[in-house]
Amino acid sequence: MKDCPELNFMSQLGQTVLQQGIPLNGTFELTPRCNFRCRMCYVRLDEAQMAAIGQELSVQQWLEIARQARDLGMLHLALTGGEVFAYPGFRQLYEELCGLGLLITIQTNGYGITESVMQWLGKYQPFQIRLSLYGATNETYRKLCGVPDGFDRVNTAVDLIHRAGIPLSAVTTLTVDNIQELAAMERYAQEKRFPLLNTALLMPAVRGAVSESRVCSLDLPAVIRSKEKTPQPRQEHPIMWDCGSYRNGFYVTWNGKLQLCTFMDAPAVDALPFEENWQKLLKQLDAYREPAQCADCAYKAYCQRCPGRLAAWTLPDGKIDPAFCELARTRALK
Amino acid sequence: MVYSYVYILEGDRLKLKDGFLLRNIAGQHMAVPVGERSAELHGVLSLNKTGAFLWQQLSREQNVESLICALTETYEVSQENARDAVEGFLAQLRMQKVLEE
Repeated sequence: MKDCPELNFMSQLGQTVLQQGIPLNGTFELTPRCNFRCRMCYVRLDEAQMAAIGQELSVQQWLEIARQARDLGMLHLALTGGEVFAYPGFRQLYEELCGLGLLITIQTNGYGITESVMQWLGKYQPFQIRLSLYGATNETYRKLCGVPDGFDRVNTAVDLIHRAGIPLSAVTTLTVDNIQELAAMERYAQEKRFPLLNTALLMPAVRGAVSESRVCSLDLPAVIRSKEKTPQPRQEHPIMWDCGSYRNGFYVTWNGKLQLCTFMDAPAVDALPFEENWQKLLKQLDAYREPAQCADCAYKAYCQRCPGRLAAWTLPDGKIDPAFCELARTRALK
Repeated sequence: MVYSYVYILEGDRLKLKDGFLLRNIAGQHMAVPVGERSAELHGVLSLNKTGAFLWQQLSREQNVESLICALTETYEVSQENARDAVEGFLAQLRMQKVLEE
């Protein structure tokens, strides 16, 4: 079989990036604001909640972080929220970022992508758009996200994105409110020709957010017992190896903290100056060890943990939420 | 890092076309589309060492012969191999629709 030059290029880049600790993949969480009020959201904040925690960064601050990260090797940049189109100055920021030599992914619920937005988004195109899809009807969007015309607006956005030729993929979070529409969502994705992934693991709220994730979660042990393929045990390895972003990715929160991902908020450092603080973060992550209760866990080999998930599922007393551990136990017993 | 241009091939003259940023990340060279060029290419053009060198040469007006000359002056390579490299590179740019004709 002939070598595939594209795979060789990416593989070589990936290896060197890991060895040298280069921040190839960045995520900017521009705002915790959102035009949706999804019941299971782990990050959305209202104005009063935001004011108690910190301040959104300005466009110039984001651009400075982007330039410094790019100079250190950032190529991929994902823009997320909340909802990115709810960030004041999003268009100005986005258009400036488009001149920096980055591959930009816009993560959005799609509601704000209208004809007039596509006038400028279609001109300076992102590398891809990743859509959060919540249902296949307006009724489900109303029930789950608190918007009366969500599906219609998202459908319009999908058509606009396709017409512009922007690569599109989607992810859906399955809850008790939309599980009955999973098949319809999959048919919709097939008809509109975009890949759709789904996840049913609702993450606990982080960094001051409040959510109904426990109430609207599916019965995950039951899902594992009935639907998941027989799980294979994983080999023992250091916890940080469970993270695809370790030593190559980073997350900057809406109030300017540099951390590994949206869930793992410690260790965290200031985003600027970027190079110095990226190195600080790497050192602190290198020193991270798994929680004590995981060391002797009988079900460790079946646990779909990563440092971020463990951080999000850690209770105030420092123990991992038994509901998360139950999932590993269920897989082990399957 | 070089903000670079891609040339339109017209006979012996190569004309400027804008819209790519030449980057070197962890020793890997690539040209990343910027601005309106991003509507034509959702990805990067990966360049080997020779490709990156020729890309940088193309930041000034060139023709096929001057590119060959630049290669032979910088690297220990024969005229013939340099010509193959230049013509192959320009063909790749054409195939990626980075050159207009």
